[in-house]
Amino acid sequence: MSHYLKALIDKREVLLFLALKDIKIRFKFSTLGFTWAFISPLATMIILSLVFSFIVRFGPDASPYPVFLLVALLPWTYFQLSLNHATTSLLDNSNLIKKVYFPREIIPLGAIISNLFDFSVSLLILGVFFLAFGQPLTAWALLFPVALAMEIVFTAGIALFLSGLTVVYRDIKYIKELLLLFWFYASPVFYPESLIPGWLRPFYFLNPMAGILHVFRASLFYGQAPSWPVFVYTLIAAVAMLVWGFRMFKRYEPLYADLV
Amino acid sequence: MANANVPVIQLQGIGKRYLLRQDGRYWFRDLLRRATGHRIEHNHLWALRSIDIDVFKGETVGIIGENGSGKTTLLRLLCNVTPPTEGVMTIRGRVAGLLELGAGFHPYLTGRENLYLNGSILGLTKREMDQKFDQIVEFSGIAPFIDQPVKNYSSGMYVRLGFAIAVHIDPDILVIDEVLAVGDAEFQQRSKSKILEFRDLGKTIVLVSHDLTVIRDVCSRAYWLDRGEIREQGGIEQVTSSYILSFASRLGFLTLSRGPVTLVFEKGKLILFWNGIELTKNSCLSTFLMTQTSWLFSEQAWWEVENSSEWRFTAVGRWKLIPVEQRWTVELSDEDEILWTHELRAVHDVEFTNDTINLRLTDRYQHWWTGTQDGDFPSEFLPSAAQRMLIDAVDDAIGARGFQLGGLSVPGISLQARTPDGLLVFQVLNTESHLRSRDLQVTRAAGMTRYPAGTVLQTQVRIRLHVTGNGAEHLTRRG
Repeated sequence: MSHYLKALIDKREVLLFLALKDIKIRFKFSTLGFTWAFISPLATMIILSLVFSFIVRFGPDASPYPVFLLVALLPWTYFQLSLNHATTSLLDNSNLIKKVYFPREIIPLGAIISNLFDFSVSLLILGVFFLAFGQPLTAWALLFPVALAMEIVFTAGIALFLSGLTVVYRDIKYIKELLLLFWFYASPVFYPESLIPGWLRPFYFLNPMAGILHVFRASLFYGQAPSWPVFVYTLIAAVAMLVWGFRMFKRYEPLYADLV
Repeated sequence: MANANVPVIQLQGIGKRYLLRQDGRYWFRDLLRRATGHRIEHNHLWALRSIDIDVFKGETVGIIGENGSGKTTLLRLLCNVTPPTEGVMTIRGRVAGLLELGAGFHPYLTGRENLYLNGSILGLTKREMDQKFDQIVEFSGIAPFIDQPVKNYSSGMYVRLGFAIAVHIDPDILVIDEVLAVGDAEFQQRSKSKILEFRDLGKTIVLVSHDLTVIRDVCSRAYWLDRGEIREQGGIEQVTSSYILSFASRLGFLTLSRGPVTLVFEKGKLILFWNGIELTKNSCLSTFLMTQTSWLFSEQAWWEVENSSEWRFTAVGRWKLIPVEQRWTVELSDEDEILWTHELRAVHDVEFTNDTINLRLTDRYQHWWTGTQDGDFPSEFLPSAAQRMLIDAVDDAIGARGFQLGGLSVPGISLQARTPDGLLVFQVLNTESHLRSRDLQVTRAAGMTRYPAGTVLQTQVRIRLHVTGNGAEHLTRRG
């Protein structure tokens, strides 16, 4: 593992160039350019806000609802877009994989890093909403980078696993879409955790995304300490996911050039 | 590491197996079947089997073989793109693979952006890239377009940029696949000389090409792959010559053989072998003439073999563009002699000049002679023009002295010609550098002439191999 890590550090420039390429290509030739990074989360937020502020109401712990929603929706969107990009990333770069040798994990990892850019841009919206609704921040907001790091680690693990497996079994792409749909409802994105009945909570937080969104929301929205058992478990789970995802990726690596 | 006795590339019993199954992909169905305890039968194809190759530092090795013989698979293994299925592979040093020029260029990015991205993938740091950037752009020759998206590039510009970056990576081992087949003649020339420059720097080169001329000019040794296995290996001339001979026999080209001499007739050109080594090069022994508008070569004519026996054949070639019929009667009259009667017949009234018989020899011939003069061929070839050693000398024979090839004495060769229909001019020349050959030429000394229908111009040619004395006895006799 350590020599893989070293190879990866040696190749950090490639990772950066590749991520930069993704970003440039995505925005270079669309008329609205970077605005798209705002528009899609904003649109989702408006729709969900309309539904859950006027039709169904979640009560005081989810208000003001647009801020409550965005705090978890933005990290979720990052997770979802990263997986969408990363899953097919090896196939999308088949010409490169067939012709040049370099550590293959750079490609899915590059996809996640480039999405980090969209995520940072969308954080500006979050800032605007915090100001508009007069939502205060506390010192716990300093946990935000930790929550983000946990999310990146976890996303990387799943992205590596899925991207490698997709090369071998093409059906994975569709299964991933179903999985994400289910996952969205199984994580506290648009509803407060308080809706989860007490007996279900231990199982509910087995899902690391639930823990990650919990930490985001606790630190930014509620301005409180997260639940420490959830925090510690999620951290361990995220790291374990990365290690396991990386192992699986490397296990299938010899096949990639022949199959893409 | 740099020990000359240790191969920098060492393949032992290498095999590579591919899965032949619905586009080579696994399907989810397989996973389900496997999970339910079913066995899955796959069709396999061994693209390579029991390959043993040693390449030492500073060697230039060619890989030849037909399509599907495993050449590209072998290069992919060497570049570490895909692992071998069996065997042991050891590579010592930094490998740069030119499997495809501009692989990974993104059409939307500019040339500059692509250079930085591609450079980093190929192993250059940003700092190295900053240093080499101007050099690379200069070499590519597309500086004015470097900030344009590459989707606007022509395919020629695309490969120029790809090649420019690849050769600036500064590898220890350069692995090249068919790269020289793309681009215009000028680019091919430049890339070839870049490869020669690499060779002279003592870098190790493995080159795959369908163009045997390139392989011969660049490599000292070759491996011939046939259906995934090594069919022959050794000195470059021997291996490429056997390859051509096998190719000729498989395609059913007319072949005459007598003693050590083999002559292959292929659509308007004759390829000459001695003990399995080709003495000719490129377009070999052929003829051409010039009309008011263009040059016409015998390879461009439509050929028919009229009759052939063990040591003799007659073939007739007709050009589409002018009403001239040429008839070749070629005879292997002895183990060291070819008699060739070359006739041009005007079917209608026709005008042409410069009708020439050209014996194009390998550049391993170093020394030429005529009845009255002799000298060395220049070792350098000029890129844009042939260099004539002997201009308008009226003589009856010219030749080249033999040479040594890996302990073998290759005979000298001479060309004699006469015609009842006027005067002949003999010339000895070095071709342009992209052909790298020595030409012995006989041209009819007549300007643009109108020949009425039915005119027959005949030239009697005698080609001899001088197994002993390397042809020099011609000179001593004179002295």
